[in-house]
Amino acid sequence: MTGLTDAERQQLEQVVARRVGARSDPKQLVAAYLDAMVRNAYERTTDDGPVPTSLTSERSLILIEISRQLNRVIEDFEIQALFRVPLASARTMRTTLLATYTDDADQLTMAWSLRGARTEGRRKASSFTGTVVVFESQDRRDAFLDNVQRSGVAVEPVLGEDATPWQVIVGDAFPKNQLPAGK
Amino acid sequence: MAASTDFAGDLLKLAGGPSILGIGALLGYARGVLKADDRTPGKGWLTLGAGLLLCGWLLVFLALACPTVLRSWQADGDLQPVLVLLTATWFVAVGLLVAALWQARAVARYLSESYRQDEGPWLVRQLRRLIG
Repeated sequence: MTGLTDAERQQLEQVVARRVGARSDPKQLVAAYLDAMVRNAYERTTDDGPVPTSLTSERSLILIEISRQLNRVIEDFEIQALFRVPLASARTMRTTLLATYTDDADQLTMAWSLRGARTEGRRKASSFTGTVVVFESQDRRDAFLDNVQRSGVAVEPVLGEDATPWQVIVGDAFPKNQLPAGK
Repeated sequence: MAASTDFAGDLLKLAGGPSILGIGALLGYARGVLKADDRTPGKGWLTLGAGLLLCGWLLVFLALACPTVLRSWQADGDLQPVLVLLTATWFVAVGLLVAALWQARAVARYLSESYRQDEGPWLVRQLRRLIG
């Protein structure tokens, strides 16, 4: 009894690479996927906690393992590539994943929200001055806002330019080492 | 008195022309920087440098013109337009100096805010202590 052969693993990586394109690293994604499946098999049998009773929660369990391996919340298009599901289902799975695994979710969501983000100098907000963070999308900005607001750090959304509309100003209490790099 | 009016004319030449344009440009730049929401260290340092340059130039002009202006107030005889103009320029320079010093706190705050609270060069840390 063995795991995947080298050829099978290579084929898996090629299929995933074809589906995700340049948006993600297929080798890293496949490695995280396979590790997650092994951990899932182990925990399903040995864990004392509640057993997933639906396909969605079963998949959420695998997805949280993949997210832990990647150190960020898995992207919708990556779920699509691995599970061969439509975008709406992938989004539902990611939402379920975040709602179910709240302990991991904050840290992973933060990492997810800052993916592709960059800092762009400092600016005065309505009641404080902080660092401007530019996000890739509204989803990521909103996730970051929600997370930072809950932590009590000053943060304020600002209207950016047409090319970079999703921006916030975050106060200096936000750890510097968690801020993305500048442009 | 002729020597005084000649010197007053020289001082007005010093204050007028390119100097007025330079002062106007410096003030316009500083005003734009301080009014904006962006906090850029480079702009802050440039504004501080421009402010120091302006204050230095105004102090030189005020010191050079002060004796002539004071003498013209005590002199007898006809009103000399060049001395009146110099006195007016002198008061404008005093006003500009006061205005520049008035903005010093705003420049210090701008520079302080250009860096994270736990960061910044030595001078910025000293400025933070001053402005509280």
